[in-house]
Amino acid sequence: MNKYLIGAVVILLLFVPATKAQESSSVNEYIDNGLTFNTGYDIIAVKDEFISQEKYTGSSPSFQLDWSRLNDSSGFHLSFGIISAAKVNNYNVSAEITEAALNLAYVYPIGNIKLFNREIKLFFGPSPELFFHFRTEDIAKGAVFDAYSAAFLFSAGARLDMVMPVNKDWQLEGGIYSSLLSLGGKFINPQDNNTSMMKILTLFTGMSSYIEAAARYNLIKNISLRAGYKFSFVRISAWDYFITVKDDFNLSLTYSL
Amino acid sequence: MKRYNFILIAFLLFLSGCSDLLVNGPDSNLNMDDFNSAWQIANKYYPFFKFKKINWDSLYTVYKPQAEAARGDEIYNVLYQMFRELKDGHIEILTEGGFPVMTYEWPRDIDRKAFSSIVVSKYFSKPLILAGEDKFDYEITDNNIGYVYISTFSDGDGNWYKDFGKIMEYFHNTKGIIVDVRNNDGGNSNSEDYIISRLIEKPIKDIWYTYSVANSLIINPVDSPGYLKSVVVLINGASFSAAETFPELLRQSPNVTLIGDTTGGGGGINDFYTLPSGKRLQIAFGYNIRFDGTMIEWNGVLPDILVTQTASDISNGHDKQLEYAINFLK
Repeated sequence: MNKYLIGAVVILLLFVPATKAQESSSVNEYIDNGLTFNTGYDIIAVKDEFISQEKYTGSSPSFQLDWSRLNDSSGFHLSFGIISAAKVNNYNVSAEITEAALNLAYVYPIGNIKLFNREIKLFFGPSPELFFHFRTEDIAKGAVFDAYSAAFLFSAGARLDMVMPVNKDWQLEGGIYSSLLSLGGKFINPQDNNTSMMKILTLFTGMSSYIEAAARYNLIKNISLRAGYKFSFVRISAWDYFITVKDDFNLSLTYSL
Repeated sequence: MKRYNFILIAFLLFLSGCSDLLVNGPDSNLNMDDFNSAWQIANKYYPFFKFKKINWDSLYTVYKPQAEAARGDEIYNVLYQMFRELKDGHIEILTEGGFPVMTYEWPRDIDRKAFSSIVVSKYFSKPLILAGEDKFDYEITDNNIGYVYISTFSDGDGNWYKDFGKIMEYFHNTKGIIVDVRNNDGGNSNSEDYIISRLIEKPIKDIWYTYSVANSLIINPVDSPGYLKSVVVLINGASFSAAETFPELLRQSPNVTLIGDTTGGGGGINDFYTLPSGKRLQIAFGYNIRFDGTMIEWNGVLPDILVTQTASDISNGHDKQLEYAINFLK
């Protein structure tokens, strides 16, 4: 399904009618200043070798709340997203997975590039993020306690926003985020006293990243609707190898203040 | 600019296949290897088949088809169900990273709800003192009776239990001592022997069996003639494993009285065995017995003075077992 959606976004980028791009790089012309409620349908794939080398997959709704506050030369996003998937399966074994992310981003206009003969405004800045993953595992039906696993990353990262104004009603948006350095933690064997549950992680041992593409339509004066796709992953290899990947097809409503 | 277009399209197409590229399953299926290995380890080492009247060969016949049919992590369920047949509170299947999945909750563990450290603290005019990585809580009652709670005999940093010497110094002028091992899941003999050596007045003998061979050890008091005043050991159904051999060994000392209820019945001496996939199995290769020759497994250790206690006693703020022990030592 995600292949079709990405294909649609690419086609949209290629064939939207040419309109004159806005010239200014002032932040608040491009990034909505207000409150956004985002709901999505997520396909999640997880592998946590603390439990096993098996891949678990499932789907679940996700929710995210964003607050953007901007001025002429800079801006910031504050967003909190959560997903709670009750049935993430490996054959007939299921896990319940909850993930949450609190992300803050400061962005500054850094110039324009041309893509498909259109101007794309670029904004770039630092972005700290707190990511949390918790998983309970029904690997032994009726066991005294459910097995569980947990991981977190508190990351210093960077975010790049891309905005392509199409006309007065439409705007295409994209974003890329990557952590650079993180304080990470992972639940480990309680009988293993030789390894710390928290470590400083580099890009090679702990990474959180996402890329997103979306189209925004201004419904009425203060309200816009946004449909998009976001691909995100968190990978930690400092302990038992862990990776969680999400394909998120989302719809959001922004109330501009 | 064409270069940007190409990069963007290539990147988006790449992403569409990323989930499968980034997250994949194991290279090979080791479920049957795990199953056979686990069965053979138990067959070779587990000492309780005869005592429990279990036909391990027949269980192989029952569970082998389930193991053959198991896909992915379904093998955990097969292993769990097979080892659950042994009704052994020690047996754990550890996930590949080491989470211990217990296969059996011993019936007398119901006593876990019949103990509360908050209720215990009400019998003291001062807050209890923590020591030994918080594994000890201790204080002296208004009646000049020393009380120490031992929450575990597990390893920790390997030195935590050496604080017990300081606790005994603190109890130097008391009339007697209560050693509370209720709700203690056990651990290993290092901490157990160290603490015992500070509570006994004469040497005692420890006997256990590994690979069907009898072993013995003499535990000597640290200071001759050792501790001469009365010692009460509080036990209940949630005292398990090393928290059962601890009171049984101390029973040899004439100054020790066991008060409370029968312990949980975990008599195995255990080790970890690694399965081909990296999962591990904790299972017994030896066992402890009571000094009357009875298996501790399933039978537990009996108190000298039976004082039963329920969860409703605790919810009403009464620790009848502790009250009895205090009156016993007054």
